[in-house]
This record gives sequence, C-alpha cells and structure tokens, in this order.
Amino acid sequence: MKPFEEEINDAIRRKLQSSLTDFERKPDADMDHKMYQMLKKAPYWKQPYMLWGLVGLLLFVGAGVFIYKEQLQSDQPVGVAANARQSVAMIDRKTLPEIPNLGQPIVEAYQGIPNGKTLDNNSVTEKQKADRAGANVRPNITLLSDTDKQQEAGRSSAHIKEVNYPIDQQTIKPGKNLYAGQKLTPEAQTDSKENEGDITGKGVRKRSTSSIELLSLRSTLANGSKMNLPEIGYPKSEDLASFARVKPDSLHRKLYIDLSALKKMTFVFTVTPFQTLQQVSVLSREGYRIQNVELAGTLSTLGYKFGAGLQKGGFQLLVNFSRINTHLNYAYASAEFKVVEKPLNDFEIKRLGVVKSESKSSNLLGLGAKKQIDFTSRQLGWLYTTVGVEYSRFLGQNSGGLLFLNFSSGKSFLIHSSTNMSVGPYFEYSFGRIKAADQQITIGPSQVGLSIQLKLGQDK
Amino acid sequence: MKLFRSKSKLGLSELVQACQKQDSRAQVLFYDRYKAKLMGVCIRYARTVSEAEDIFQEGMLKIFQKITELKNPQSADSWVKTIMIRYAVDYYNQVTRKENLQGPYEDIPLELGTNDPEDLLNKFEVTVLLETINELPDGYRLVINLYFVDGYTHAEIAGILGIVEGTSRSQLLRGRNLLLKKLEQKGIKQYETF
Repeated sequence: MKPFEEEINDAIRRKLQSSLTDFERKPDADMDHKMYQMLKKAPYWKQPYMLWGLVGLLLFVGAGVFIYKEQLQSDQPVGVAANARQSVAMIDRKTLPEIPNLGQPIVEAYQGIPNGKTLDNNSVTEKQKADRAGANVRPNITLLSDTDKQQEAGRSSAHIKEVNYPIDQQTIKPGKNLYAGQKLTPEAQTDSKENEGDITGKGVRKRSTSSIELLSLRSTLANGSKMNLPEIGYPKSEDLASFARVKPDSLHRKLYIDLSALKKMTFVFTVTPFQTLQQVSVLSREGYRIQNVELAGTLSTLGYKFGAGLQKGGFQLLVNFSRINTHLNYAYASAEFKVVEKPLNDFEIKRLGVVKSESKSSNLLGLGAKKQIDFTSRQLGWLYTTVGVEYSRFLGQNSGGLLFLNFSSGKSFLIHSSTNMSVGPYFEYSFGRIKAADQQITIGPSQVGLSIQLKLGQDK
Repeated sequence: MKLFRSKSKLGLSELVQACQKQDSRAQVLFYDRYKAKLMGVCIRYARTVSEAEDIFQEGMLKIFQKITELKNPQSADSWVKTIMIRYAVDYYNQVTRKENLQGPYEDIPLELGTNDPEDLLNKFEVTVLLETINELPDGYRLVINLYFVDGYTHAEIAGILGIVEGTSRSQLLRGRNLLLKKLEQKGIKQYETF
C-alpha cells in the first residue's frame, strides 16, 4: 500500500473513530415504550390470568369428576345388569330360609289353582292376556337364560325354561315332578325327592326353593294380578324372534342409546391438533408499501387445542385452551428498483424491499358450547356430529378475542363400558383476526385438524 | 426479593446474570443501560432512521435471546455491540444482493482538492459525516463502518459479509474515495453558502 493511501486511511480512521465510536442517540419514546412492553411481559406461565385460568380449569375438572362419582354411587340399579342381579337374589337358596313366612303365600298361591285342573292359555282371562301383552319385554331376559349363572344360584335349566316361556299342559301337570329326569345339583335333588308327589299341596313347606318362582308365576297368572317380579314379563313371539337376531355389539349400542336418554352428566375431554389456514389482509397506509406477502410452510402453522367440560343431553360446555401459530413473509418496499433486461428489448422492473419474516404464536383461553348428535349407520356403525361456537380471549400481549364457529364429524368407539372415544375431522372458522407486528397486516385464522374426544360416564 | 430491591445498584455482572435468568426487571435496566449506545450503532449502519429502529428493535431482542451465551459478564459492553453490528449486517444481507457486496462498482478515482484529508474531515460535524456515510451504497457503508469505525480487519470483514478479503479491500477503497468525494462536494456547497 502506498504511504499516501495509508496516510489517508489513518486520517479517516482517527476522525471517524473519534466522532462515531461513542456516537449515541436515544431511541424515541415510542420505541422505549414498545421495548418496555416486550420486556416487562412475563412468560405466559407466569401471567396471573393464565394462572387463574388454569386454576379455573382444574376446579372445573375436579367438580366434574366429583359429580360423576356422586352419580355413580347414588344410581339405583337400572338396566340389564341391575335386574339380573335382583332376579338371581330372589331365588338364592341361601337367603330363603331366613324368611320365615315365605312358605305361606306360596301355599296360598298354589291353593288358588283348582285341583285337577291344568293351567293353560285357555284358563287365562282376557285381562290377564292383556297384562301379559303389556308386560315389559326387555333384553335382560337373556341374562335369566344364562344357564351357568342360574345354576350357580341353585336353579336348574328346566326351571329357567318355566320362567321364561309360556306355560303349557306338558310342563305343568298336577302330581308330576317337573324335574324328573333333569340333572340337578345335589341340594336340588334332595329337595326334589322330599317334594316328590307333593304337587297336590302336601308338604308344601318343604318344597324346593327352585320351584318357588314357578309357583309364584302360576299364582299370579291364576289370580290375574301382575307378578311382583320387576322387569320380567312374557315376551311376545315376535319380540323373541327379533331379539334372537340382535348381535351382542349392536345390542350394546342399543342399550347405550336407551340409557343415554337418562340424560346423565358426562365428562368430556378434547384434544385437537390442527393446521391454521391464514387469510391475510394488508391495509394500505401512506408512507410505505408492503409487498410480496407469502404464506409460510405447513409445519410452522401447526397448533393445538385442549378442552375439558361437561355434556348433558347432547349439549357440551367446554373450557378450551388453544395455541394458534401464524407465519408469513413480506417485504417493505424500498425506493430502489432493479431492471432486468429480457430478450426482444423488453425490461422487467422489480421494486426491491426489506424482507421481513414474521412468525407469531397466540395463546387463547375461552368457553365453547357444542351440540353433539350420535347416530348409527348400518355400514359405518356408530357416528357423531358436533356443531359449536367458541369465544376465546388472547393471553399475553394481545388484547381482545376471537369468535369461532366449529364443526366436526366422525366415528365413535366404546373403549370401556363407561368411556367412549370419538375421532373425526375438525374445521373451525374464525370471525376475528389476529394482528401481525405491523398493524397494517391482519390474519384470519381458520383451523383444519383432527378432533379426538374422550367421554367418561356415558354407559352406566 | 432482596435482589429486586437493590436492582438499581446492581453491578454489571449481577445485571447480566439476572438477565440470563430472564428477570424482566433486570432486562429493563439492561435495556436502559445500552439503548443509546446501540441505537447509535444502528444509525451508523442503517440508511434511514426507520431502518435503524427496525434493526434496533430486532437486535435488542436477539441480545436478550443470546445473553445466556455470554460467559464473561464484564465483557458485556463489547458483546452487545458485536451482536448489534452482526444483526445490522444480516439485515442488509437479506435485502442487498450479494453482487452488490462483491462489486463491481465503478472505480472512483481519488481527487482531493487538499493534500491533507484530515483537514477536510475536520471541517464537518458528526451529523454531516454520518449523513454522508448513510448515503453510501450498502456494501460501501458496511465496509467503512466495520473497518474505520469499529476496527475490524479485512479478514474479519470478509468473514462477516461472506466475501473474500480482496473484495473487502477493494470495497473499502472505493467506498472511501466516494465518501471523500461526497464530503468534498458538501464542503464546496458549504463554502458557497457562506
């Protein structure tokens, strides 16, 4: 390097360093305010409203679980299982001796049947027929025909047939041992021997407990009064035929739908991973121009929503936490232009600009209401559809909130006797907009995702 | 809590350590400490005040993101300046095409009306010097700031700008000559005003 060049460089360095090295300029008040706002903002998990929101959510969840448990404890036995237990308990051999006057009504009931007469359909009055027809035929009869369980309770299969099917002359004949030739338990055989030939009334007090229900049934039919056994009635032949066609799985669903009519409170959890579809609006403003707006790739706009709440009668009330990610690129147009020469004396003029890439995460906490409709399809099985609205407030620096309209439809599965899961596509449209760092740019976030819903306490 | 009460009397090390723990009040104090100095850096590297504000805002956030990487809190003064300079360079790398940094700009011969360049420079106030530097094309402005004001070597400049060392030298030469030419023109105008 020439000495003159070096001298010039040194002179410039000395002058510029002395003038500019410690050059300071205070940012204006707006910049200070903006920076203070950004710095004073605590991380979102430290923000008080976030804390209160979480506390509220936990209380809500706790209350839901408490109510659910209370319901489980206070429920009277209803439905199939409860009736089955009750029926078996009535004929439990061990419990019968503890009832001192049990034999008397049996004798009275038996004595109500005229001697030497058979009990058949002809002997039943019209009123009794009507009673039979009106009797509630429930699928729980199948449980009574569950031979293994009944035999465990001291009943023979012959007895079960007597209870469940219309009585004819062959099954009920005075003086005939109903259980002759049947394989019985040792106790039942003993009782049967004791009672052999005793159908005319002698030694009734020693009658086998296994025939008590049969005699009660006879007396009920004979007297024309309705039998005091809950949930047991005469099935009509068409009922039995249709019942025989019902597969266990569809029966379960049928029972579920019947029981859902009880309008029990159900506890609902939802998880929805989604992608945000961005609708960008750029407002014009004097002084500068925003150009080359591009929506970013798919991964950077993935978000999620968690919800917890209660359902009653198909209506859901949920507390939701959402995280919506938006990402876009744009440029502030500068006063520089670039001319690109093209063939045939053509030119392309491009305006240069300062490129900005902006990604933003918005946390929202809100309340949602949904209506869920469950239905079945022959091909697809158990399906659901939900339509709902949600209003959520921004957590953090942003103020205001967003109103959403959402829709989901898909398939439901029973994953436990009291738990079901619903999975299906989810769409959410936002009526509000998120402001970008440059207030001239607003983004309308609509979500497309997968709704996964867990419901506790439906099938009881 | 004791730490918060005495925050205004914190030394630099304690302040940096509190910032490393994401203490928002310490971050405000840290910002107040460096804001004027760093805004000055941004003004030097930017073409306009609005661009300088953009660089300043994003650069400050970058500093708070990277402050956990600062091992020696006592070197915070030079560290924050380095981060801001690098962010300013990145900012222009996004908009200035590489060929503009690599050249070629037209050769600007050095034609000074005086034999003492220091004499020429001494005629101008800081604001005029700054204004003239800001008028230079991006590539020249960056190299002049890096070499003359902030004291980087050509090898370091080449690394920061992603160019070869020879390009850094030629860019500096052309930028310097253009700066002096502009200053001389401004000097003549000043004389004409008198």
